[in-house]
Amino acid sequence: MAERIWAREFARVGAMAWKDLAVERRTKATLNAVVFFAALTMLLFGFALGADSETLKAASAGVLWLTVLFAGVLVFNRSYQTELDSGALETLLLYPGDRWAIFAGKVIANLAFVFLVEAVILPLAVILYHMPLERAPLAVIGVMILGTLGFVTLGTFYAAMASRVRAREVLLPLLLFPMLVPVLIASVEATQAYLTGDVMRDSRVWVRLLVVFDAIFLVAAVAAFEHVIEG
Amino acid sequence: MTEAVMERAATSGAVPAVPPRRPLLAAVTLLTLVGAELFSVLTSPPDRDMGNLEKILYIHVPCAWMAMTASLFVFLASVGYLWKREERYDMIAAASAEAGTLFTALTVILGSIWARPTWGTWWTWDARLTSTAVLLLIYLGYLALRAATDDVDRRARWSAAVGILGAINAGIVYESVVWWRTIHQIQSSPSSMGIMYTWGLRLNAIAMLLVLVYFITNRYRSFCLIRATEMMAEDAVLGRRAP
Amino acid sequence: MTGEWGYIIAAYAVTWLGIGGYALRLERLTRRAEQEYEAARGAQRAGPAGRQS
Repeated sequence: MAERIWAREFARVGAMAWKDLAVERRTKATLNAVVFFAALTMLLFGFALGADSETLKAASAGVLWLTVLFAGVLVFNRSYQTELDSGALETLLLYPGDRWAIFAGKVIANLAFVFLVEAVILPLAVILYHMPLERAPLAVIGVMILGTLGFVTLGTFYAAMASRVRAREVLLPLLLFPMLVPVLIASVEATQAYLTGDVMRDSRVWVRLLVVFDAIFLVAAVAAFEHVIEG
Repeated sequence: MTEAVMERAATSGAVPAVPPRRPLLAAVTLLTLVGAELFSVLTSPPDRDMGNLEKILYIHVPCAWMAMTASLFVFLASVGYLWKREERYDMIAAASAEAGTLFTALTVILGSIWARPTWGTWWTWDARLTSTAVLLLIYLGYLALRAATDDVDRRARWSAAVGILGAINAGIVYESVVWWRTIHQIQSSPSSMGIMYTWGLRLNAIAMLLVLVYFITNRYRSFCLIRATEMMAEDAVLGRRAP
Repeated sequence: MTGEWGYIIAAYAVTWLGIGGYALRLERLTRRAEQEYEAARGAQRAGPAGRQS
């Protein structure tokens, strides 16, 4: 009996994620815009930091992650847009079933989006900022996955609220970014460590922090989501 | 509703009863604050390293402690609200958040004022100062969310969720910033104050705690007044009569 | 060393401005809330009596 319930919940998660992804696949509007914005951001950072290639290389991890944050934040409010526009959210909530399935579905869909954007940003960082990715490509990608997990979990969570009030564009970053300080620090430091050979084994501390952060806030966000999505 | 009904509603927790004014608390708080500050300024000897600047720390450190204490109150009240769904928990959380924001802002500003003559710069990216600045932003986000939400019930639920997650993150932020500074081997600022004149510190801490309690109780009282007024207006509109 | 006292005074001034400022704001808020509360109470008491006549 328990297995049947779990199977149904996971089916719900899958359906939610698939629905969000299908909507986006049809229009591709948001994905294109976010990718262009990310590329633009990387370019602007380049202008701001100056042309010296050593400076750019040293800053590459930081610029990479800031770009992920600024571009990614555009994705989260949008993920509730379809339900809000059509008034489908109330209908969705009428169905019995745990709210965490809605949350998990949206997180998965948003993860897919942000990973796609990162797939464009990472090569750009290599090209524009001479990021020495070849030193530890798998490790850097691993850090990106861990950091993005925390980013998307919290982003999806806060967007459930921000998307439904006025001044949503500014409220989401205001709520979200202070919460992401540990993710930003840890991701940039870990990436930097791997890119510079990780002589002091600094990366371990940061990767551990990322794992702990992701675990804590995945649980906390899932637990709190039902209080936030209602009404 | 007659007053009798309102009493009953209040005791059941539906509408918090309006607490009375407490002028004694205000007077005691003020006296303790003035007394503690005078005492610490006049009787503390100049520190070996910092000179008289140590006197700034007598208020800076208690403000930091109160910022943390307020965030603990926000956390507990938020958990209480989601668990019991009684408005008074939301009111306590909101009152604590306002006071906490004030103390956090003071901590950051005082830290900066202390840093300038000590280090020559207005900002040092010191671990404690930086994580306090992040805590200030978390508080401000909480207040901004409350301001942007009109529905009372939704505002309470959302604030509680945000308050809980924010409070959890405060500790994590601190740890990450400490590690961030350690790994870059930045000289840690002497906020390890050596032997601060403990009585000066203790008295100021007590005074600041009284200030925190005074602010929270009064803000809570104003929330109760506003809510009671709203409920009476609702009753008038709905034409509810006394049973 | 002599410039120190400027910073010390600034620190205490900022503290008093902050705490005092918020205390004043609270006082004003509470005062107005009390007035509106009393007004609503008065209207409530007058209401049923008015309807009875």
